[in-house]
Amino acid sequence: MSATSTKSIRLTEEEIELIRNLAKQEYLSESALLKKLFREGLRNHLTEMAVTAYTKGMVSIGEAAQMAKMPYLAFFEELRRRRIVVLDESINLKAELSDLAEKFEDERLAKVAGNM
Amino acid sequence: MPYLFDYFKIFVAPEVEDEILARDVRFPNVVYGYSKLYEVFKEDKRFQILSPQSRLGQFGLGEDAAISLALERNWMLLINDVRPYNYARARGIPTVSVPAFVVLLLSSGTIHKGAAEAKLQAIQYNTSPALLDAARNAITALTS
Repeated sequence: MSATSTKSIRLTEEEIELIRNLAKQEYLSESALLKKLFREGLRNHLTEMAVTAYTKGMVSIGEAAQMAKMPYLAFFEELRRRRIVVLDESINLKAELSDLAEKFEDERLAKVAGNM
Repeated sequence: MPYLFDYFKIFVAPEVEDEILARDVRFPNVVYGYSKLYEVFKEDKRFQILSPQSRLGQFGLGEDAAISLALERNWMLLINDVRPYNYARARGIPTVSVPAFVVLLLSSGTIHKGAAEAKLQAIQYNTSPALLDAARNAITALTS
């Protein structure tokens, strides 16, 4: 467990009342509830930042996963869930098929690749 | 994924393995399907773990190790992410993504047309329509 320190924030009376009521409903102390909400918010914020960076083409899936503090597969699932494209039209299918045709001596595939 | 072993001798960089097996701290009991499949294949000794001698320092740890390994050994790189894909291609590494592999499976007679179309359907939400169309055109050309 990492060492912890205290940060203070100012809340409105309405927010304080809301926290008090939520804490009662969830049988948590107010500080435990605030910590829980902060962690959830931080995770969501990091995920949104990472997804945005990925969709803007600034980072790879691996880098975005690191940004989001999520495992690679968890982040990949997030991209799948949001239907975000990970393979776009810049993928050189013709070159891939040519390479595969050559490697596996597949003449039919070579012909199809040649006609693309 | 299981078809890969019929066509390629697979090598996995340790960093890639770490990423495949990593658990999500939010859901520590959740085991992803790919992780489980990987464990089964590992137990079956279907691939080897191999580290690159040096690393390019690009992208995430697993992507970097995989690209570095392919570059050092002049091997094909199996990858499904456009940025590292294009980087690897620009470095002269032959890359293979899912749509091309599906077309290969059909061309070599391992799967039939319906199965190839179903596999493309399965990746449709994360693959650009233009790329899917190109793969479907290749399927049509192979079956007409």
